Amino acid sequence: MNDEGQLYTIEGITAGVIMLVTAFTIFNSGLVYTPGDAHISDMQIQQLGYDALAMMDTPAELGPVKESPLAEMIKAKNDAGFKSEFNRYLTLHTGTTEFVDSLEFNATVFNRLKNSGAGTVHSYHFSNSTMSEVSMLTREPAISVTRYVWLSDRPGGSVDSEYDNGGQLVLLEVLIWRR
Amino acid sequence: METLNDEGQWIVMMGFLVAIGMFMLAIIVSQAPLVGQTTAESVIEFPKNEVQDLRGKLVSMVSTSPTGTLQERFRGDMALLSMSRNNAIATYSIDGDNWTTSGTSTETNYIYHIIDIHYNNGITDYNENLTTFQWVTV
Repeated sequence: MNDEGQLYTIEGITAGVIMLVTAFTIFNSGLVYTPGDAHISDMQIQQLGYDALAMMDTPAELGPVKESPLAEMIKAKNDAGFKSEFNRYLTLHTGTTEFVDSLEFNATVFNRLKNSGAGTVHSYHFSNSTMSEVSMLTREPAISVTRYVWLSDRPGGSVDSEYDNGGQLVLLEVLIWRR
Repeated sequence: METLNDEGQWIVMMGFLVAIGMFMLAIIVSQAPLVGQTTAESVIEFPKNEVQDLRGKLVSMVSTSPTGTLQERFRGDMALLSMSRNNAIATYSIDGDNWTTSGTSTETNYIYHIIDIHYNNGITDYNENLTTFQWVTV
């Protein structure tokens, strides 16, 4: 028996294995397309929204707790004021380039009913951006940002089934999306 | 077979082995972006802003608000609203051991409060114990 050229045999087997593995990999792998930067714009919108709410929820005066402009808007049910102010923060830009203003939002207030509802959450629509026609057709998924707002008392005109009396924390939730 | 020079077969085979090794490593690396989590997702997931919001509210409210209201009203608001909207357990206690100390200067009397903050949304667990003071103008 001629046992020369054993390494040629091994080489042949190795090459065969490599080809098999390659073919297996190609035909067996389901292609999952995940763009690496899919969430970067989401992250930016989220931070932008949180920052805008934080700015609006900052009282003009330091010292004993003052109601923030945001709290005053909620108490006065000033949805137009919120709309213009929040939109102003969302669209702040340098002015040196053309700015694409494509963000829309919808704000909801959540408050706790302790006295009449025995610990239930009550919510109502607070404000929203001007609905554009483009947004009716297509839009990106919305990002949720929230902010606790301290109210010294319930909004004027509220009844017990909507709001408890006295100081309380309410949660403002704003959905922001890019049309 | 006499024209065939079969010297250096081991070198050739080691070359193959290294090539196979690199191929396997490339497969592993190529799988990572498909099943992994992007940095932006992690940033979105981390409740930095929620925690800062709660913390800021407590620090500003405890400096002026009566402790009773903070303990009864606001804690309930925070617990229920964060659970229902942020899927997070958020609770706190002010002066859990009734630990308060007053310090007096010539013009201002400080009352120190200890705040325990607990936040857990299932992914991020945050606990803080901070000391702040309440202004009491004499």
